[in-house]
Amino acid sequence: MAATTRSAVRSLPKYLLLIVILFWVFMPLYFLFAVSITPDGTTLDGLQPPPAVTGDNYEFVLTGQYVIWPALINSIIVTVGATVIAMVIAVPAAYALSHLRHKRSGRGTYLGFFVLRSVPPVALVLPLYIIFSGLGLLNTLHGLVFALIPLALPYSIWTLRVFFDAIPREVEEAASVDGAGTFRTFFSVVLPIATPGIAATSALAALQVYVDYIVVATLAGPATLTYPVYVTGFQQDYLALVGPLAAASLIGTLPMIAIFAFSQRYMRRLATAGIH
Amino acid sequence: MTERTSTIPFGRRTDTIAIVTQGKFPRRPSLGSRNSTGKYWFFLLPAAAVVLLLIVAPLGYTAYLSLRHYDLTRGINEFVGFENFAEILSGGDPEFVASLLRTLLYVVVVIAFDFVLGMTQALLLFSMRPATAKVFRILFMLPILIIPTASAVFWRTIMWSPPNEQFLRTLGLDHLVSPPLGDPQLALWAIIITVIWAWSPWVFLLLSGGLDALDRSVIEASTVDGASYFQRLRHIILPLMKPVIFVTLSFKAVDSFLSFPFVWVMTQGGPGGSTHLMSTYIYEQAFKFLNYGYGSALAIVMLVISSALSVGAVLYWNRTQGKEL
Repeated sequence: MAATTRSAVRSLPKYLLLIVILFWVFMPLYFLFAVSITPDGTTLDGLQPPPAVTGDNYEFVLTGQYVIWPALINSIIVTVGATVIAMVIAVPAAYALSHLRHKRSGRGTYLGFFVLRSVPPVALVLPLYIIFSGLGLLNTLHGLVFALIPLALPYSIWTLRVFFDAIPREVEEAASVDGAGTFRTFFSVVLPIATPGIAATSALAALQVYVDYIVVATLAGPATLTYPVYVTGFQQDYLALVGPLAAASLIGTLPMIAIFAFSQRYMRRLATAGIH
Repeated sequence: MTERTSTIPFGRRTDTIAIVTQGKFPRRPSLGSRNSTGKYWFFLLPAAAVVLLLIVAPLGYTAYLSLRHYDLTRGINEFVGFENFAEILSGGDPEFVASLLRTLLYVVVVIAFDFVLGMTQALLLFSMRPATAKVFRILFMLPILIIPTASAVFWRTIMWSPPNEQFLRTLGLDHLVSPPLGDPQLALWAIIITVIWAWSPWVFLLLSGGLDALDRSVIEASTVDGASYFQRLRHIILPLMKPVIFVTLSFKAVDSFLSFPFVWVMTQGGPGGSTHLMSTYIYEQAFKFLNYGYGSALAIVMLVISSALSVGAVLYWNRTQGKEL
C-alpha cells in the first residue's frame, strides 16, 4: 500500500507533463476540427462546444466554386513524378557511394550531397523563374516536376546509402563469383534486398515534395498550383472563409496519412539513417 | 597522393591477391578488388547530370545575375561587377543584416524548443509499455499530418487573429495581449510558436526512434545501481543518444535556416519588416520589388553562409567523434 502510494507520487510529475503536452498538441487540433464543422461567420467561444454544427464547409470545398480537386490532382501528379525521377537517379548513386565509402573521393562526394541540402530554395527559384519564363515552362506541371527534383534528390542519396551499407559485401561477391556482372548484381541481388529502405526513403522524399510551398508558389499558375499553395488562397482571395479553410486543411492530411502509414514500419531505421 | 593509394585499399588488395594466387584457376576480379571501384562512378553519372542541370546551372545563373543591376521596376539590366556585394558587405542594407541575425535567433530558439519538447515526448514514450507507447507516438505526431502552409494559415486566422484569436482566448490572455501578428514585438514569437507546434513532431519521431534503438539493458543496469532518473539521463541516456541528437538537430538547423513558408504565409515579413527571415527578405526583393540582380546577390550571400554552416557541422562531427559521416 505504502509502496504503491509512493510510486504514484513519484510518477505524478510524469502525468502532469503528459497532460500539458497533450493539451499543447490537441488544443489547436480541436479548434481546427471545431471550426471545420461550424457555420461560417461564427466565432467559437474558447473551448465551449460549437453553437451549431454543419457540413457546409466540407460541401463547399468538395463541390463549391473553390474546390480542392484540381489542386489535389496536381499535387499527386507532381509529387509522384518528382519522387519517382529522383529515386531512379538516387538509388544507383547511393549504391555507388556505398561502394566508394572507403575512398576519399567517394566520401567527399557524399558530403557534397549533404551540403547540397543546404542550398537555399530561394536561390534556386529565382533563376528558375527567369529560365522557365524564357523556355515557356512556367505554369506547367512538367516544369514543376523538374524544379521539385532538387528537393528530393540530395536527401534521398544521403539516406539511401545507409541501406546499401547494411548489405553484406559477401552477398555481392558471391553473385560475382557466380558470373553476374556489376549491373546484374545490382539489379537482381542488391535491389531486392534494399527494397524496404528504398520504399521508406521514397515515402519521406515524397513528403518533402508534397508539402513544398516556395517552388510551386513561384513557378506555378492558377491551373497548376498544388494543395499547399491552394490552402493559402483562403486567406487572400476568400478572406472570411475560415470554415472551408479548416475543412480543406483536414482533407489535405489524407495523403500525409497515407504516406506515413506506408513508411511507419521503417521509421526507426530512418531515424538512425544519418549516422554511420 | 601516396597516402590515398596506400591506406585502406592496400589491405584489400593484398587480400585479393592472396585469394587469387592461392586458387589454381584464374578468376574474375571480385567486387572488392582494386580495379573495380572505378566502375561505380558510372552509377553516379545520372545524379551528377541532374545536379549540374537543376542545381549547379541555376546557381551559376544566380551568380551571373548577382553581378548585374537587373531591376524590372526601374527597367534597368546592366553589368556592374561586384557592386551589389559591396553594398551588402559594407552594411548598406541594415534590413538584410537584421534578417540574418533574426534568422540565427529563429534557428536557435526553434531548435532549443524542438529539442526540449521532442526529447521530453520521446522519454515519456520510452517509459511506457509498448502498446501504450504506440498510441502516444501517433497522438504526438498528429500536427505534422497537416500541411505546413495549412497550419500557417489556420494559426494565423483562427489561433492568432481577431475575432477568433483562440490561442490567447483559451489561455485567458486575449484582453491582456494585443493581436500578436500585428505587433512588431510579438509577431516573430507567434510564428515561432506556430512552427514549433506544426513541425516539432519530426524531432520527436527521430529522437524517439533513436531512443528505441538503444540497448535497454544498459539503462536498466543503471537503475539497479540506484542512479536517480536525472543522473541516468545525464550520464547514460544522453551520451548514448549523442549521434542521433546531433544528426537530428543539424538537419533541423539547416531546414530552419532556410525556412520560408511559415513567415511568408503568416506575415510576409511584416509588420514593418519585423519578421523577415533571410529567405523571405530575399524573396521579397526578387519577386515583390522585381529586383532580380540585388536579390541574386543576397541569395549568393545566403548560400555561402548556409554551406559554410553545414560544412562546419560535418567537420565538427568528424573531429569530436573521430568518426566519418
